[in-house]
Amino acid sequence: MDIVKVNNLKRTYESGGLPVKALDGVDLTIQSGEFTVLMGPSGSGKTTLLNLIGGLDEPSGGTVVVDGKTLGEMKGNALSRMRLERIGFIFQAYNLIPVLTAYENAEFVLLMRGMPEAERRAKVMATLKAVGLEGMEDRRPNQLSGGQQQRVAVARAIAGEPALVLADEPTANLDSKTSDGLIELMKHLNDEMGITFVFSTHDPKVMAAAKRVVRMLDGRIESEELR
Amino acid sequence: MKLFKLAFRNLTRNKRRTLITLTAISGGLALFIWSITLATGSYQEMIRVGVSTMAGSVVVQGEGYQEEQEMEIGVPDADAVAETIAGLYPEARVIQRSFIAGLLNSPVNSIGIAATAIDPALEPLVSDWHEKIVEGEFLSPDDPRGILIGAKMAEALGVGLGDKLVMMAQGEEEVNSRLFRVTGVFRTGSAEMDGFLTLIHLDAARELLEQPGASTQVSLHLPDIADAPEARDAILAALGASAGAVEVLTWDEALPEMHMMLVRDEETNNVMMGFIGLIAAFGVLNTVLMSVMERMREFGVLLALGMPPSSLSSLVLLEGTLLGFVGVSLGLGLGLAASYPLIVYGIDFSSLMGMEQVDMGGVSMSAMIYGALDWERNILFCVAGLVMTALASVYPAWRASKLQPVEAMNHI
Repeated sequence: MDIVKVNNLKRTYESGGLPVKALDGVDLTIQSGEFTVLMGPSGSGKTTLLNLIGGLDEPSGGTVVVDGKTLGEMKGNALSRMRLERIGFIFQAYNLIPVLTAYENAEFVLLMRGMPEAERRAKVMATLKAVGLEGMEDRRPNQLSGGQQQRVAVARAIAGEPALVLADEPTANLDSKTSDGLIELMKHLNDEMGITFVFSTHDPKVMAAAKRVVRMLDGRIESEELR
Repeated sequence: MKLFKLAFRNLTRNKRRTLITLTAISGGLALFIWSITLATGSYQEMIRVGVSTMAGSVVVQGEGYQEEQEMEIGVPDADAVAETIAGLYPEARVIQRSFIAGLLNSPVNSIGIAATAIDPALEPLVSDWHEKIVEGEFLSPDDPRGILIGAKMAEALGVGLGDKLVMMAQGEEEVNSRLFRVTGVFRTGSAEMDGFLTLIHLDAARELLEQPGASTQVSLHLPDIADAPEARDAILAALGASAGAVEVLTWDEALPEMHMMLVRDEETNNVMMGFIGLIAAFGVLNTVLMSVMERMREFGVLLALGMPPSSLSSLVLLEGTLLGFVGVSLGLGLGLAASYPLIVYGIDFSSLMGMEQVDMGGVSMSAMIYGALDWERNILFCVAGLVMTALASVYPAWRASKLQPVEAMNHI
């Protein structure tokens, strides 16, 4: 089943009054359960593509269909709802809410969905355990290491069992050992829970774990490789 | 609940800034409550003294007196009018007074005076003239020749207790004169009043002015002057046909200068309070806007995770409202606590003013002022404080709701 279908996707930015093509006609289909990596040098359009798939940005042309729904046809709260219920995000800079504890950060999406407390608690505790943060529920982000923070971000992204997790260079700020652990964790979640992951990364270790590698250059897909 | 928790924690993030804003709101409101308590206390005292000594809750005067202030305009058959009013309000006090402008002569001097003619038996029930006697005694109901003069007047006329004085005033046809004997000397605390005012017996005034049975004013003194308008209508109806020869006024109509002064003073206070409120509102605007600008990236994340823009703006609005609520609650508590000693022990302005009595709006009142709470205005300004702080968050909330997730997350 196609979870993501991107068709002739374009995104042009203005920089210094000049148009810059961040994406220049990208076609991509991702199947449910895939562990896909977007590779490419800085400025190749990886983050832009992830943002457009996640409905965080609007394309200049083309369409994005996620989980059977065309994002361009969704307005305001419907798009928010889509992100809330179907997509999980992991950012390079973790982007946790600093005033919330690890538990509350992981809980946030479920809370926004209006899930009953007992169910929410069970899911959050199970997810935090799955990412190896048992016993750290009450710590705030500033009391956690970079690796632990990124694990909280992973927990937040997967606690709601989304159809798709988009991760933008999730290991870029981590040391090699922590990075290995995190890749292992996500691979495990992909294998065991069937969560679809799409990464953008420079990290060869992430690439090594991928089932599919998409190479990008100058806003286009240069090649695709299935493992 | 989730937004409330988040809003509360966001406010505790920059504690110093939140504290400064809370201080601005609560300090401003507390200052307001304190000053309104002081003003209300002095207004109430001014009204009490002014109304009790110069008018009443409702006054009946001869037709045209209010406009002309001529002493020949009296209430004809004032006793009957007083009886009618007393019949309507048996629990309240009904008294009569006449106001005379004349000349008072002693063997050594003559001075222009204003005399208030009273019923010595009833007057002490409504005003406190009898408490201001420093020498001699208050007027006796049985002695229509008695006169009370101020200490300064006694000095100017070179007279003391028991001395004779002749008062001259314009009668029906010609200038009449009448002999009085000083029975008491009073000291109001206002040198001007002590040199100008005298008190005489109502019967003496009637004789002097050749107006038997008439008085300038029949006044009704109600326990609560707020009932005055209703009482005025009832009196007008009860007087029936004779109402044409008189005018029936509430205290604020009878004492327009004093009333106007109170209204002006209240308006000035409101404008001042408005400015204080505005300053506090700008404080909140600054706090909320700053915290929004600082958290652009975080807001981008919240939007990315699926928080609807409307919830994000509600969060920002809630932060401002919460700040306002805490500030207003603190301000109310502080204001009431600061007002308590003012209400119980009062504040003595005599050393500041250099006199024991202050002349306000033509009313001589004690420089010792006790506060009184004005709940209506206190609540009004608490609500205004809440509304203003909530409004100050509207713009930051709107800004937050217009954010695009990617732009916000790229914000530095």
